[in-house]
Formats: sequence, C-alpha cells, structure tokens
Amino acid sequence: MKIVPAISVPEPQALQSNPGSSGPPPGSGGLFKNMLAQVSQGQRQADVQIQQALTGTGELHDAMLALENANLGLKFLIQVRNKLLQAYEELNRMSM
Amino acid sequence: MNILKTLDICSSGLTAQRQRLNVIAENLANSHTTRTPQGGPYCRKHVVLATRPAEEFASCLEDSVKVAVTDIAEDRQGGRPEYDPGHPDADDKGMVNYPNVNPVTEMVSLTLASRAFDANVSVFRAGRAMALKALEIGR
Repeated sequence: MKIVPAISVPEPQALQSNPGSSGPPPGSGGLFKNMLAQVSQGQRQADVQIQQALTGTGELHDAMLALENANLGLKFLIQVRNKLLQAYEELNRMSM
Repeated sequence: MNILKTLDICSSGLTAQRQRLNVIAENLANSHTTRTPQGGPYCRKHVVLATRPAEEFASCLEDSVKVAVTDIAEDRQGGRPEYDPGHPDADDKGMVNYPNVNPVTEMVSLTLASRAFDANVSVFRAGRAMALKALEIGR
C-alpha cells in the first residue's frame, strides 16, 4: 500500500477511466484502494464458503465459484497494478 | 463486473441440479420401501423448478433470471401392486403395494441432471476463459 500515494500524485487521466471504478474517490490511488478492498472482500467470502462446504452447510460448487471469483479479482488487480507501475515508470523516465 | 452475474446464474443452476440429484437419490433409495410414517408405500417425488429474478444485481436494466427449486411434489400416480404373499405387508389377496419408482426413469433423470450440471459448469468455464482473455488484452 506504500506505492499508492506515490502513484496518485501524477493522476494520469487515462487511468481514471478504468472499468470497475465505482467508488467516489477520484484519482488512481483511490481506485486502487477500492479495488484492493473489493478483492479482499471476495477472498474473505471465498474463505467463508470453503468453511461452509467443509462443515457441510454449504455447497461445494459455491465454494469453488467463490474461489474462482477471488482468483479473477486478484488477476484483474495485478493487471491494474502492472499498468499503474508502467505509467509511473514512464513518467519517471521523462527528462526535465 | 459482468462475470459475477454469470457466476451467480451458474451457481443457481448448479444448486438446482444438486437438489434434483438429492431427490433422485431419495427415490432410488426408497424404490422398495413399503412403510412410511404416513402409512402406505413411499411415494415418488418430483422436483419443480421455477425462475427466480436475480434482484440482488445493482443494474436491474437486464431482467436476467436464475433458477430455483420451488417445490418437491409427490407423484400423482399411485403405488405399484405386486403379488408377493410372503411379504409382511401383503394384503389378504397376497398383493403388496410397492412404490411407483421406476429405476429406469430415475436413471434417465439422473443422467439428465448430471448433464445439466456439466452444462452449467461449461458455461462458467467459458465465462472465465473470456474474462482471462480480456485480461490478456492489457499484456
């Protein structure tokens, strides 16, 4: 999370129009934080579903679907992070 | 995300087919049960499926529907009488009222339920593959 304030300084306009930016805070830092919270939430939900499947109160396929959901969310988050870092490095390389 | 909608609809289909499987298992397990708490033989059960609006989605613009088991109803056909005078539940003519469960019908239903489950899994796999391909655009 240390990287977020460093990245939110330049505020590249292109990154604000990323999909999934449902949260009100503007800037890519807020967007990233929002996404991180959502992915974390998905993983917690997957944990709960796995526990329910193991204790017999939930369905096996629900647990697997929740896991897949968490997996996809994480992959998406990683892609967004890669793009943010790429943009940051691009700006860093700019000669003044 | 739209993949979540796919996931939710697939999940409802999978749950419905699981419940159907449970009912088929019950029918097959009780295919020779002649005694029940209500009296008489076991009665074959049917699963009744119904659509359920997917109301928990944020965007209600598309009215997509999920599936759910609304009722597990008993078959309307009566029992299957069979001549078996040695059976403790035989009447004075030697006839025993067996459940109206046909193992062949149940096996067909089982195959159908299994295939429907597979189909739902395939739909989810396709959705996931699409999402992963979409993520590959940025690479």
